[in-house]
Amino acid sequence: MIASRKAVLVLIVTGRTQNIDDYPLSAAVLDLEAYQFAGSLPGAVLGTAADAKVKDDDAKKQIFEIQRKSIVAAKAARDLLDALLDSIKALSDPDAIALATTPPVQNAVVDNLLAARDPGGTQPWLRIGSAAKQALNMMVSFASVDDLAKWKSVLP
Amino acid sequence: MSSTTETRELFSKATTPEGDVKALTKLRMKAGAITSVVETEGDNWVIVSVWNVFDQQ
Repeated sequence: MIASRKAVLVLIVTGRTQNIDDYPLSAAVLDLEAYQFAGSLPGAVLGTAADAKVKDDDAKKQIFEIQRKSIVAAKAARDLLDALLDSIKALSDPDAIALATTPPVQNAVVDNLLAARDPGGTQPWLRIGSAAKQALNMMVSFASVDDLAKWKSVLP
Repeated sequence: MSSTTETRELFSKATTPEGDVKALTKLRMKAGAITSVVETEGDNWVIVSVWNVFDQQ
């Protein structure tokens, strides 16, 4: 409800900076009605759905489109990936950090994905076991079939 | 700053069975994706997965 009112308030405040042609009285009245409605119970209910859409839109701000080969989805590759994910889960925190710090392969796509999931740029996978495992999961999930074999060679 | 990351993996329908693509979504979830679903886009299957930011502590 508060977020919805703020969203409408932004429209009103922005409108106040415009001239009468761009933000006429009729538009201001409509925005004021929207501001009042956003603070009401029915408005809050609708706002919940709207907030969900905002969150959905937010989720799509960082989108990575990756062209994959069919062999990546084939059963043999899936079985190997499944086993690698199990191995990563079983790693100790220090081992996970060590492997995430010096992975067996470099992959520019994965590097970009890691950066996207690290908005603070703190590279938590270099010092936090759970983050290291999350990073390793990304590294193997977006590896090529050839690179999966290299991961297999360094995981227990 | 976005709080989530979306990956879209495109697989050619001509060379990749739908079942293989759907099966791969389960592994995306196992790897930590919040959601992972198969969509269709022209001649491609698209695995759309959403990921949270990494643990910070």
